Amino acid sequence: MEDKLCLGYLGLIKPEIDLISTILRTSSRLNGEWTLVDDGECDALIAYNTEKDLTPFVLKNGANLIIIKRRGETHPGYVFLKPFRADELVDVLILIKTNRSVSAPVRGEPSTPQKLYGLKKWPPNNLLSQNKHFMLLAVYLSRGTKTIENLVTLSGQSEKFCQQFIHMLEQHSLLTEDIKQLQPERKTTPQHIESKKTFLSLLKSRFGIGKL
Amino acid sequence: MKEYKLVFTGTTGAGKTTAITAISEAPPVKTDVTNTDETLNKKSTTVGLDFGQINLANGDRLRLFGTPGQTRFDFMWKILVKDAFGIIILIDNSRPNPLDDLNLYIDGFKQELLTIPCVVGVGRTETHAYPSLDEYSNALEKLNLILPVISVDVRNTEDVNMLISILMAQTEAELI
Amino acid sequence: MNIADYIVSAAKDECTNLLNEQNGVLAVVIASIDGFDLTSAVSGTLDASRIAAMASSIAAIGSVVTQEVHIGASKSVTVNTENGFVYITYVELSGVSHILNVIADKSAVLAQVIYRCSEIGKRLKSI
Repeated sequence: MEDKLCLGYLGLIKPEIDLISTILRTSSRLNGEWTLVDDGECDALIAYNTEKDLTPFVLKNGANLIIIKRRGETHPGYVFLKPFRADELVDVLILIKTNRSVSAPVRGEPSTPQKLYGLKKWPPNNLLSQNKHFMLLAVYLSRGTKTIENLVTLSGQSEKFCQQFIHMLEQHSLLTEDIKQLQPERKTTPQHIESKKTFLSLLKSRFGIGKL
Repeated sequence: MKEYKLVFTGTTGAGKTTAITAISEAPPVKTDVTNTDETLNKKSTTVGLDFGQINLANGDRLRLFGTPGQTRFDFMWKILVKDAFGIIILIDNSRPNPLDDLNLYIDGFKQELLTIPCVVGVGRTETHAYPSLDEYSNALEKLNLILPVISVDVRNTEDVNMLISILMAQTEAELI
Repeated sequence: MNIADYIVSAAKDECTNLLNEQNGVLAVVIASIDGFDLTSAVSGTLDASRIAAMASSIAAIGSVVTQEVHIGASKSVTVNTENGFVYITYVELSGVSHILNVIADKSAVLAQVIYRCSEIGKRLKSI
């Protein structure tokens, strides 16, 4: 069973600590994945200020601060606004967890040219309904050609599964194929990509949805 | 604080206002007026826009816009779709010519569809099975478009969430 | 609801008179609330049906704004432009609210147009 994520706290009064503890315990969306800790290592820390000294807590690598602010005040990072709303804390914790789990390893360029696959048209329903993950792969392909590696990275499915999907499309004459260019043009800046990724994470946590 | 925009368009009565109401955090702003078009089986119709809003965890906002359905309001389509992150086209399969209806919106958003993700949601398929979803994708293929086409009932929040999930997946696909 | 022919005819006369008699007026369109042109008098290549749809959108958005801030029902919307103005107000025909839309260039005087539209509204309401 996956270890629970730890939420530390600094400068909160007892009723606030009790409230957060209750939210972590009872939220069905959090599903018991977070626990409130009094000290030690934590995956996130909730505080009124960006303290330099976080004793008795130690932030884990990649951990996040959640700053408590009044509604109407702004802060560039994660916030928990007063008067508190439980669903907003849940949203932030889901977002933090989602961002921590996005860690696709950087791979070197493969030595052999990769094939780019595309759709000729949106596949028939009887094909997509054969497996619940097929629609997601079709959606990715609907936005331009992809390699198998791209599909694996996007969908989180295995290479074998993605190849099986591609093969099915090929059998039904729904596939286009090309060879990947070595240095494809980047249409967007890295900053824009990060901004879009953050937005998508926020949307996913807001709607409580992961993959299709 | 960043603001993002999502546009719901499609035929009158297909459920644009309903879809926005299903997911907007506050009751949406509507510009519904009495319908005088006897070809439409509706008491009221949107003549300006529907507007809803969702606040995201970091203070950013997602604005939801519903366009009027009739083509005489296509000037509103242009205004509302500017800088949208996605377009949802809702079609009512109980209408006489749903594929012609689809064509109207594809044509109306022709420029935008070159870059903005789009999904087609077809309603009332449980009572009106034709045209089938496959016929929709065939029609789109003839227009050189590959858009996801799914059956939806926008009275169900899960179905509206599904449409948004598809737009998100399309956006993700472009970031790789 | 269908408006009787004689009322539409009277409305048409009002539009024509306003176009011809008021300096600077380029178009007068009376439309249903949902943007169908009922009758009109326009100059040049202006498209009455397009104007009707746009006017209904503007009127509806104006109504929503005034409702949102609780300052009562919208009575008119004026769009001032570099070279004239667009004035949108409501008139009643057979007890049904319609939109009266006037487009004018800068030689027109807004106050006069507002006054004349008000008089048109009274006359059409009384038919």
